[in-house]
Amino acid sequence: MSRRGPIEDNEWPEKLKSHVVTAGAAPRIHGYLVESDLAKHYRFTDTALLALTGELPSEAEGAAFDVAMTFLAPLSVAEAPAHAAALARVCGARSSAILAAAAITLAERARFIVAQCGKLLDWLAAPDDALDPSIEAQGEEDRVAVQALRDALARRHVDIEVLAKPLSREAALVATLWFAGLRRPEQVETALVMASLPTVVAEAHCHDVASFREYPIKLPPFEYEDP
Amino acid sequence: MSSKPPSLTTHVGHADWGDNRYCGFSVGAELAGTETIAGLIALATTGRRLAPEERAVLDDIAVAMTVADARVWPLKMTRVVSSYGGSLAAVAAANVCLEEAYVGHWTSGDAAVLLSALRAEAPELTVAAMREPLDRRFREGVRLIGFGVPFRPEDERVRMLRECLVRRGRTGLPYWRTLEAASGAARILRNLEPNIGLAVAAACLDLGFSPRQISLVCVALGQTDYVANAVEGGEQRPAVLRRLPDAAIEYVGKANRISPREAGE
Repeated sequence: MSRRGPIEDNEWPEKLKSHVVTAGAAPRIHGYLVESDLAKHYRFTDTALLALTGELPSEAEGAAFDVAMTFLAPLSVAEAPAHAAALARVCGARSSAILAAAAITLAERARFIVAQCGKLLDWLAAPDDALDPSIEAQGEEDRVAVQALRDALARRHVDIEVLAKPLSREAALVATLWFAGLRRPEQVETALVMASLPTVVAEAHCHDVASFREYPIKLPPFEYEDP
Repeated sequence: MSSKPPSLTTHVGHADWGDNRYCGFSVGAELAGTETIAGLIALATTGRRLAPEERAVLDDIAVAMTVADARVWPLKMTRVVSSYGGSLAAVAAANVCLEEAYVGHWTSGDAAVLLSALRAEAPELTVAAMREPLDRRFREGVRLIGFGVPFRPEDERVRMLRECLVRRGRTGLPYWRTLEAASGAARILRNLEPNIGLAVAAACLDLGFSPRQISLVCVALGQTDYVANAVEGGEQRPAVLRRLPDAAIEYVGKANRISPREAGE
C-alpha cells in the first residue's frame, strides 16, 4: 500500500501555468512567433525587452536599451562578479559552475544597485528638480560618462529628457532602462545581470585552471583575530 | 587614490603551521575529537561555543524539522536543478532561494522576531495575556510568521520537538512558554496552530540566539533535506524533470499575434 500524507490527500493543480513562452514546437514569446516573426525583424535586445515588459519596444526604446546594455557590459576583474567568476576558474570549477558563480554575484550586485536606486525609480515616475543626493553626479567622471551616454543615444536619435539633469552614471543608466520600458526593480535587476554576464565569464575563462600560485591570495589582506 | 587596499579583520579562521584556528579555537587541540557538527554550526553563526546539552538541542531541532519530501517546494527545486546531474548546483540553487523566502528554514528568524515581541508585550506568558497583542496583529492584517499549518490540522514537527525538549527539561524556559501561551491564544482567536518555524525559534531564543542567527542556524541544520534530494536527483537525472510533457503545461499568457514589422511586410 502506498504511503499517504497531506500531499496525497489534498487537491492540487495538475498543470504548470506558462505566462511568457509557449511550450512545444513553433515557440512564441508573449504571443509572437519567434522563428518566423521576431527572428526576421527584431534584434536580440528587442526580444529581451519583449520578454521583460510583455510588449515589443518602439524604435527609440529598443535603441535606448541597446545603448544602456552596452554601457553596462564592462565589469573588470576588480568588481566582485568577475573576481568571483575568476576564483571559480582558478579553483578548477566546471564552466557551468563559473557561470553560476558569476550569475549569483551579478544578481547580488544588481539587487544592491537597485536598492540604492529605489528613490530613483520613484523619481523617474514623476521627475522634478529636487534630485536625491544618492542619484546625483558625484564628480567629473560621472558628468563625462553621462555626456557620453547622451551622445551615444543621440547617434541613435534618442533624447531622454531626464539625462539633462546632473545624474550619476549609474542613475543615468537606470533612467535609460526606465525609458526603455523597465519600470520594476526586478526588470532592472535582470537587465543589469544580462548586460555584464558575457564580460564577467569571458574574464574568468582567461585565467588558467588551477592557477593557485598565480592568484594574489593576500589581496586584499585579511587579519585574523580571535573573537 | 591609495594603491594599498585596506586590511579586513576576520574572526572566522586562520591556516596556521601544523594547526588551524576556527572562531577562536585551535582545531587540533580544542575542537577535534570533542566538538560536533552542531557545535561548529553554532560557532559559525553565533560565535559561541555551546555546552553539550545545548548542542543536543540543535541536534533535536535538526532531526525534528526534517521533512525531505521531494515535492515540497524548495526541495522540488533541488530535483529540477539536479535533473542534469549536478547535485551541488542543486543544493546551491535551493540555498540561494531561502533567504527572506516565505517557506523554508530562514523563516524561523522571522518567527523569532514575533516571539520576542510577544514576550515583551505580554511578560506574564499566559494565554489570557497573549490574546490582546495577537488579536491586535490579526486586526491589523499582520502576517504572523510561525502560525498556520498548511494542509493538515497540526504540525507534527512541533510535537516531535516538544517531546524532545520535555525530555531535556527545557519547556519551562521563557521563550518556549511564550510559544505555548501564544499558541493557546491563536487557537482561541483564529483556530491557528504554531508551525515548526515558531517552535524552532522558541528553542533557539532559549539558547540565547538572535533572530538572524536563528535563520542561519536553521538553514545550516536543515541541509540534509536538500543534500538527500540533490544526491538522489543527480543520480536519477530524470528526463521528465528536464522537460515536462507539453500536455502538463497550461499557457495563460498573451494571445497569438503578429508583430508590426511582420504585418507591414
